[in-house]
Amino acid sequence: MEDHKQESPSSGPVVNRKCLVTTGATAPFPELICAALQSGNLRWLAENGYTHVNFQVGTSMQYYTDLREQMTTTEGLKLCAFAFHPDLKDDMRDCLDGEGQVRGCCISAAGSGTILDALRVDLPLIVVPNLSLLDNHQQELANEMHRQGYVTKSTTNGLAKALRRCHEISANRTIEYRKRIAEYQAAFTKRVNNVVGYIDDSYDVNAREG
Amino acid sequence: MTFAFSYTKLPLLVAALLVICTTVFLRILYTMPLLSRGYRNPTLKNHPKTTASHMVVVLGSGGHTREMIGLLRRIDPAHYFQRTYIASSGDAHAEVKAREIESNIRRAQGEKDADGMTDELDLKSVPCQGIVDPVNGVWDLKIVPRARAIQQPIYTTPLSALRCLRGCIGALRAACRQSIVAHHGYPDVIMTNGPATAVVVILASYILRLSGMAPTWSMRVIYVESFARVEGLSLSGKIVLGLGLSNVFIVQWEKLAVKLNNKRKRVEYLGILVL
Repeated sequence: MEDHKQESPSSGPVVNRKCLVTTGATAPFPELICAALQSGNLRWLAENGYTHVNFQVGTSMQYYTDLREQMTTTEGLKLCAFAFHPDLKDDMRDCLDGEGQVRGCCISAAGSGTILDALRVDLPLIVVPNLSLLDNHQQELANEMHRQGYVTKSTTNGLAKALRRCHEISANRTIEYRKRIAEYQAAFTKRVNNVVGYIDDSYDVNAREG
Repeated sequence: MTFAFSYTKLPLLVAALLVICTTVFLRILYTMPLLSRGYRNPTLKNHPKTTASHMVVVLGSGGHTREMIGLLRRIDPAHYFQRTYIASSGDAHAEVKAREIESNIRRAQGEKDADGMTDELDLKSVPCQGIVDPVNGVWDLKIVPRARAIQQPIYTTPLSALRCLRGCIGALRAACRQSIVAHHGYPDVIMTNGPATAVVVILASYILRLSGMAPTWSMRVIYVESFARVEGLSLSGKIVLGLGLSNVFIVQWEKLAVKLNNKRKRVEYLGILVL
């Protein structure tokens, strides 16, 4: 809902909105590129105010160009692709809200590094586990992260639904999990202090109350 | 009858062996973090620590570093005044990683109240190794030989692992000599999240405590399993937990904690810590 409100003043100057699609650095994930390039998904993005879609394609650059050539329309979106960037966080920050720009989203393979980066940057994230990986922690991680409300999990086929869902809930989500994480980290710091021998006042108070 | 146990060498040897075994066994019991959980420095038992501490952080791959940044973001550099990073020689970016963690510790301190969690790196603002900053303390980096090179044959691995162990003991002793928070005091805490080097560093710290070179309350090990591990532990985690080498073993998923704790409490769960 929040997103629609942000969109309304876009009638004046052009408001950018960027989506980052990233396959991760370790394994190729052409299925994700293919899914993101499907006209239905691109149309949804265009209808919801998106102007740019950036692809991090890894080793699948050839695959991307082939698909791109077959496409008849980009639904008015500016598409571009790159293989690798040393720090993907810069590309993620590029999708955040800023001058003449509304916060976009990131669609990514469920690698733990990408999830960490996106959550730290506060970019709404849709994760698509790469099922072709044999040693598959990605699936488990994606399930749990989705269950706890940090990310939206999707499959390559259900991307349109996931996009809708992600944008419906993303407004309050960040604030909510930021608070939760701050609590976790405070608990951890207390635990470390406790192990080393520092007495943390608040820790004692809680213990007495409980 | 009484001469049946006369002065042959054998009983003497057996007795000596028994004494040695008992001593070592008792020593192990005494120094084992697993068994001495909650054990504190006796001089500090009723007096909380008021001096600054020395923390050892074991660096690993990029993923490990990324998680370590999240873990140490809220650490108070006034408490953990001296931070020693240990990396293996195969890691070309070790110094960058250490600086990255340092810059995050410093920034988190600067904007403690501000909610901004921007991740822009300001590596240049981090002073050089060994320069003591009165607010943020001091850091340094130690390199140890790597336990196993890429594609190293399996039969030479024990040898290189031993070399790595020796390097780690050396690094910890150097950290002790260079301690500025306590004159010739071993580090207070080892913080790690599971690269292969960490196992060797933890083992080295245990050997130092076992042999009596370091006090039993020094170098308490805090092991935080990677957040990518939802269903099971990593190899390093299995070794550390299996041998009971950590004082605190933290996992980041409740399900995993419940699974591991089904018989008795072995791991702690405090939520996702690395974000």
